[in-house]
Amino acid sequence: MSHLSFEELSQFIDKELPNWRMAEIKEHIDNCPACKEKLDTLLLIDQSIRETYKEYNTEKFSAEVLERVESKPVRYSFRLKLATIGVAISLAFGITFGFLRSTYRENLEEEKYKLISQHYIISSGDMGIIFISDK
Amino acid sequence: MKKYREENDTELIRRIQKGDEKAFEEIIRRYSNRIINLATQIMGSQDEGWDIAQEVFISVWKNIKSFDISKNFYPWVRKITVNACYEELRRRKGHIESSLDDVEEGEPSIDVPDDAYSPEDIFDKIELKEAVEEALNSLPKHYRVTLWLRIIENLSYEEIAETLEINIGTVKSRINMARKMMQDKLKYYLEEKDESS
Repeated sequence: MSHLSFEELSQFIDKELPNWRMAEIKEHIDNCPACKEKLDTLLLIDQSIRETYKEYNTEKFSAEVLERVESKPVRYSFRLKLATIGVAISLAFGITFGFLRSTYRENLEEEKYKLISQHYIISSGDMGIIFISDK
Repeated sequence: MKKYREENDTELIRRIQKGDEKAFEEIIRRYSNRIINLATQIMGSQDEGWDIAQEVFISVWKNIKSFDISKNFYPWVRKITVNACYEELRRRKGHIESSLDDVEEGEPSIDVPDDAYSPEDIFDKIELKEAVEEALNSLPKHYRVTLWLRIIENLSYEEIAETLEINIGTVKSRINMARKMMQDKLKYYLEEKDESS
């Protein structure tokens, strides 16, 4: 009785042989302690490999994946929001400053003409200084 | 989440295709362990396995609309994982000439006993699990991944051939070779086991 080859035992474990050969091998193993031992060794190795399968922290993993999935649109939206706020602040500041400036100028002009209407102009300098005396 | 846990993959995928993040979370919960384990085996390190697995699920989220709902979900994710790992290894191969093609195909030769563990080493290991992990990690990637798909993922030779895009003959020879290597690397430990039993 010849012993089974390593390849055949391996394929026997994996059930990758035709049914008739599977039956023959099973019968052989039942009657051959040497082949049975070889088979048990291979089964032990397979079982040991199964035991190396690890259980990971899937909650942490899942949280990290979801964060990465969400992070791109959130980041984009945050940047967009930041830009919008920046533009709004600039506009508000510009408009307010412009308004205050024009109001100030109008008031200044008004004061100037009021002053002129109440006084004689003696002379005006190059630098826009007006010398006046009371009417 | 209880509602989602009771749903099958197809129902969850339909929800994910509509943008349901809770359904996606449930799919991650269901399959992340298997994907991280598989990626770890291919990449050879837990950290890299973890990172690649994350990329895989992000890719699933992005491409879920193209997934054919009439097909099984997990084989699709497994295939994405294998491709992602191989792509990463190929990218690195430009720098380091090893990774996937470090072992020639065809009739393999066995030359393992030189780096087999000595009885003292094995004695120090205490746990068979550690010895097996180390032996598994020392296998060439091609062999390790093929054996993993067979033993852990419980794939037939034909399914492994499809997943790895190789022929069945190569699958057979890789599995035989991987088992022989494992046996040789663990032989002192296995002998001790026999003596003690």
